[in-house]
Amino acid sequence: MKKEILKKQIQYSRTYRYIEMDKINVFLGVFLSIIPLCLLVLFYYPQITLFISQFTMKVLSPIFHENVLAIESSDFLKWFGPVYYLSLPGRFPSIVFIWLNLLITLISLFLLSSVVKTRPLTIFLSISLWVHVCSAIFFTFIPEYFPYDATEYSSLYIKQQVGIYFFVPIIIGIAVCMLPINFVKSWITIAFCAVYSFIFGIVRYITFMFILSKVSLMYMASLFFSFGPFIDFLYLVCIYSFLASSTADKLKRNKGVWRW
Amino acid sequence: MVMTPYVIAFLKFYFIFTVIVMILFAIRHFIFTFNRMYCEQKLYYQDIIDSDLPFITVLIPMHNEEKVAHGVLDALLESNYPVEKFEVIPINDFSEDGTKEILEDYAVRYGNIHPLHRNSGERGKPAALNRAMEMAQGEIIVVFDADYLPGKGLLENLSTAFLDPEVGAVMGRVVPVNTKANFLTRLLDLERSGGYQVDQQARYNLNLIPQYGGTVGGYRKDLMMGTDGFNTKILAEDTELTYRLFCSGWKVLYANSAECYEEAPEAWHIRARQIARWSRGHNEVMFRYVWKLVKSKYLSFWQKLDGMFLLFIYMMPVILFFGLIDSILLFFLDEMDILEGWWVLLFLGAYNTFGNFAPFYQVGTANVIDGSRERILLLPYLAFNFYFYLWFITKGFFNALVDVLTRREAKWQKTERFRKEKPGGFT
Repeated sequence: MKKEILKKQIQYSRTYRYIEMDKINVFLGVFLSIIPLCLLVLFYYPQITLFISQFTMKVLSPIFHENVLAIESSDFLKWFGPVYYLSLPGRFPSIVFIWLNLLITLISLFLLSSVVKTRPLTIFLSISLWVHVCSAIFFTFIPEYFPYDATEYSSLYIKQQVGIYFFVPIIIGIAVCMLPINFVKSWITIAFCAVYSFIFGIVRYITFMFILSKVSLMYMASLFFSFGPFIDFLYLVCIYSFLASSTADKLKRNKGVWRW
Repeated sequence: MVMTPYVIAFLKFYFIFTVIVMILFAIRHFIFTFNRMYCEQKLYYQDIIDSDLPFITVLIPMHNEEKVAHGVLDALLESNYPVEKFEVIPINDFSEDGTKEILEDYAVRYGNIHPLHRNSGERGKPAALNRAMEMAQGEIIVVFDADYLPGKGLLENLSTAFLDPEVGAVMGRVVPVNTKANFLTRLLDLERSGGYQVDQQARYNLNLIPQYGGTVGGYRKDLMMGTDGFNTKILAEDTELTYRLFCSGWKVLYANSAECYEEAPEAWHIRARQIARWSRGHNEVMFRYVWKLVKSKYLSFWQKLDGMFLLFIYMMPVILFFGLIDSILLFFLDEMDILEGWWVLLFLGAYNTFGNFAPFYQVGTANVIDGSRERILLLPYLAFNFYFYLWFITKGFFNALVDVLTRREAKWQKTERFRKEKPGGFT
């Protein structure tokens, strides 16, 4: 006799269900948090970048000799003012350092490709390592053509960071507006992401500046390509996934919101 | 470093081109997700009851499928479709394991199972389907891969679509059965949800281009037989059928209610091979159908636009891959000031390609609709799939390019199965 499979609970049909949009809630929750945050970044980025530069200088100053660190500015968006960034010396790699890096990178690539070549994380690491190989080759043969010093990179980083600060509320806002949650929750989520990205951006800036100045300029490309906006995306999605998960849980117990 | 201004201009142009492509895809997926979450859904024909059901033939291509053959056949025998109204043709395509014996055993025991054993001629799924269609008695062909487990009402659900004389093909929803097997299968479950619950359903809602996926779907036999069957040189016979039908005025429906379980790949190297094969097949179809799509007199502007997006979906990772190389070059050439850098590209790239070419919120929304609370927490891990797809889809694209340029014949590669069969059932 066949074993009967009995369900403890029959869930509501998921096939064609949808939610009637609460337009006011979405408007309040999303647009009233995205727009102010974006405007805040746009109108206050000179002050924000000045604060970041001053803070970074304060943190790094015990490690550097006096008068080496300074704050500079450069033009950014015409109508909104300049960006401020830290000026600091970079450390050019010695040939031994370059070759040692190249050797270690190539061995790592070989190990990655021979052991676990098809894993997503392996491919991510491999691409990062290849960028480092390019950097090592560049510094071996044409170091005089390397186009950036630590200060130029510092400027590039700050400009990139302003872009990230601007886009984080927009991207998380788009994601959050697809979830049937009240506007307070939307505000908290979007504001939390903005604050997180602000703090993370500063911590990363300090770390990058330290590496480029005290370890080697050779790591610039790897830092730029592997630990830049991709990492910002990662925490953004982490925060979103927690919110979406709790929303899914609540909706399971709330039949009233669904329409079929 | 001295570099001609033309090269720099080209690199910058390509960078901007990549960003624009990503923005267009981002808009498309925003519309899909919004439509699926907040708009009334277009229902399929599942509630139509008709006593005059068509005679259907179920085709199951099999190559070394002894691990799963019992599963699909037993499931079909449990179907509530009248037994006198359907036949099953399991196609033993050059199997070297015990598939043939299993099929013969079923044929002896059940009158509506008629196995087809192929040991000569062209190999692969399209050739196998063509041969099986010649002996099929049904006017409607329903196809399942060998690892699928159709539910009792699925055949009736799919066949109802053909009561509409404008319908050329129908596609059901694929749901992984082995989600608890490992981390990869959980991620694939997450992706599939985004692909079907939101993407396919939204395209159906908006009267765009839902795709026939080659399994858990059906089509009219005479449409295929009248045009010499499937093109055996193409790996993605399902995509080719979709475009062939749309371009000649037929409708393809998506039946979200027609759910069927499949066995998702349980190893990364198998998933890599599968995705590279899909990319190769899909891109072959892209090369062949771009112009036909533009010229088709049966499609609206929006259908053509969506059809174009769908055709180019496996080009996106390739465009991004070159975008990555482009950015590295711009970086070393002191030209990273363009749009203040790489972040635009990577942001939008990751934005679009989380999951199976879907942004993270599309996958998240699909899982909220599905009510899968725990599964959503895996969403951040899909970030690394961005690089995985970038690599293997680009590989598949170049294979397709070589196929088209050199007229090389692509060989069908079977996806390895993992099911542990138990006597009289399966786990």
